[in-house]
Amino acid sequence: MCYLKRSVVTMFFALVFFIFCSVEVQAQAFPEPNCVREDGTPCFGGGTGPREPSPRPESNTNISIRHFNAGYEYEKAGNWTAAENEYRMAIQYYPDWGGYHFKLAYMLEKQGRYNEAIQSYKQKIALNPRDSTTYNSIGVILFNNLGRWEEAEKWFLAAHQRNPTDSLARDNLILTVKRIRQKVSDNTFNRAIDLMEKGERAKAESLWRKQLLVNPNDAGAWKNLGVTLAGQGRWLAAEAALREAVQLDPSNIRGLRIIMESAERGNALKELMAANEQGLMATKELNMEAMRGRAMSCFDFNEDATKTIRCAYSKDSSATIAFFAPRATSQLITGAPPELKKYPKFIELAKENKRLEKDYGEACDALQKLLKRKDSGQVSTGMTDVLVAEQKQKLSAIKNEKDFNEVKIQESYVDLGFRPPK
Amino acid sequence: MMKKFIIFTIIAAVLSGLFFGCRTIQPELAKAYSDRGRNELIFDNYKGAIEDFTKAIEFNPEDTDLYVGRGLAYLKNGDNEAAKSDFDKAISLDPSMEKILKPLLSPAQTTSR
Repeated sequence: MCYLKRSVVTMFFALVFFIFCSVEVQAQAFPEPNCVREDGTPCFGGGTGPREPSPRPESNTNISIRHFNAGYEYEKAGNWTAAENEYRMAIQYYPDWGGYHFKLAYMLEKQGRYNEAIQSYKQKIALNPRDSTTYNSIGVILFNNLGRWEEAEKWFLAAHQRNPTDSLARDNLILTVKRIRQKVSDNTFNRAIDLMEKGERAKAESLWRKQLLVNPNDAGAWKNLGVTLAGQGRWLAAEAALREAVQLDPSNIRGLRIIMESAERGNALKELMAANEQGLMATKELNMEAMRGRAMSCFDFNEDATKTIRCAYSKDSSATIAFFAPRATSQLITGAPPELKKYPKFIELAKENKRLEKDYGEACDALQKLLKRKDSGQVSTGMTDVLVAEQKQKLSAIKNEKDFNEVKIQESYVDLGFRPPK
Repeated sequence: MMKKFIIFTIIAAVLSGLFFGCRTIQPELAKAYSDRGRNELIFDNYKGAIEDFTKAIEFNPEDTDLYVGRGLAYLKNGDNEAAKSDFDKAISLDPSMEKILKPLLSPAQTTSR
């Protein structure tokens, strides 16, 4: 379709060219008279009458060219101000030639008068809107000299759109997009440091985790995440994060040693056990922390209450799957007394529970597929990591909802005077 | 003479069409925009992410991940219809994504307590 459009446009221009040529040929066939006969009638070429005197004044075009040439000489000599003046004169005599505006803009740029230069480049664009070079030039000033990267990006993009084969504009566009991306990351890094200094560790932790999702090989972020976690007394997760930091940058070994040798380190297991005693949710939270740190602490859950804890460092994604494996809650429903099974509130909650289990199963399945995909390196742009984070968040949301639903089911037991099973 | 001119015009039209092309895929540009879009998504700037993924798609309309990224950004921004449309496109390009993306659109997504 697009080829057809272009072909039609090209044919149109060819037709215009053809008509233009015909007119030219006609003009040659009937040349202008260039002499006058004695009787006053016009004549051509070798007429017999006296020729008209032709002392023509210098045309504006010629004057402008003269100023342009002078300006070019000044430019070569590095005299930007004089060149600017000459180019201005050239424009005065021939304002419709874009090249003069381009040269003037360039001289203004050389003198550091960037906003004026941009205005001149814009005038050039008004005369030649298809010329990608001028768009690129404005982008360069905005990027290099004025630090207005977001605006520069728009001009580079405009240049690229006008001429997709302009490799300079394309490379500038890529560079600008990358730099802006980096700037966001740098700002996040600094913001997280500020939060750490203010003692807002939870917020800082969240930022470090985001930073690591953006760049999992950022040793500094791993180290700072470790420090933030240690500051919250979460020693296991802190150690895991610092191990990552050391792996990426061995100079972090000192930090890791401090964490490991810390007197608090010995309390880490106790901390975990205590959380375990309090119930599955607390343990889950701890496990999440450890796994988010990509140390992938491997925990073996048994169905009823997690008596065994085995912790090892591994990047095996199956640990994540094991962590998110669905927990059987059907005992609350299938083992309910017959009277309760007729209780409308219970029926409703049981239905809801079934829906949640289905959602959970699907989400678990999706996570498993994603992790397999990630392990096989199928995805090029890193969306898998984002999707994994998203699926984990979703699973947590469903789990929370399911837990809440279970509490409601237990309440329905109490409503009818039964004791809910543990 | 006229016949020659018409032939010349047709040849010129075909050649120019082939030379300029309609829409060239620019993987490097697509990657630059998609990387930044991914960052925007992670740092919760969903509108920025949508813009970047949209540009990336312009430069490489056959990349599944770009539709996934933009779909996620739409989803986070509360535009489920647009998210579904992008996920559908991603699935049409890569059917193995169906089981991964479908659960994200289920209502439980937003009901965290």
